Amino acid sequence: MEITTKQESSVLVIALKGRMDAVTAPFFDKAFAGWVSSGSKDMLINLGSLDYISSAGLRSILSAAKQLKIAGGSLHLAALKDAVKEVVTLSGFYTILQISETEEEALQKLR
Amino acid sequence: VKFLAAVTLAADMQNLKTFVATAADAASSLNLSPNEVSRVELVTEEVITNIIRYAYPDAKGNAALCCLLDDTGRFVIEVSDSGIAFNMTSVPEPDLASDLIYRCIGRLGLHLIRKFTDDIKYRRQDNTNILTLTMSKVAAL
Repeated sequence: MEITTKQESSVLVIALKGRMDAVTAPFFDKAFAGWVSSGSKDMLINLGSLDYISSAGLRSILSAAKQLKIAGGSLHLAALKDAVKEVVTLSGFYTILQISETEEEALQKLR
Repeated sequence: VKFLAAVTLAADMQNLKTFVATAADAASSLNLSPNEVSRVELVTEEVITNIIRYAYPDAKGNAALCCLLDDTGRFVIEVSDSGIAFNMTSVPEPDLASDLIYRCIGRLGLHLIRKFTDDIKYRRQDNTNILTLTMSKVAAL
């Protein structure tokens, strides 16, 4: 899994590429801890290049969302591909996370 | 029943990729859609990860994966280990109704396995856990 980030005003935009599974999800957790310690509170994860996610990846995203909410921030997801969208939907994440069709749409909600 | 692929390796996280790739290759050989292959990968990852994390708390051991095609054209994943007895089918469903802060992080993998399979059978035989998962709606044949 590749992780790249960019700053859009106060929002940290994270792009995940490849596979988020039991082996790679810990890399996200580690990176997330770094973003939090450098002061990021509102984050948007663009999943447009993520091909696969398992429960390990879902756990990392859920844990990140909880931490940001407690800190007064928020976590948004955008651009989910079909296989990822299916797993995210079946896990009931649409009722607890902000999920948008595109990165642009998510950024508008965050502004 | 048609045999597709099998692999036995140490139950170690560094072997997860090989287990998942073996199942994915078997699924791909049946011309399943990419989404269906993803489901096979997910079910395989969830059951193998469970063995890696919990089956051998005090020792090392193996996990065995076997992929089959049943008589009705459904993809079957059979996983076995000789670790502590664990019947996945007896674990309750997670609560998917609570709000973000109270949402439970555990058991999501099991929930997804149940969503993607028609049938899950567990048996304990000769000190071995044998889990047989029959995937739903496979478009092969």
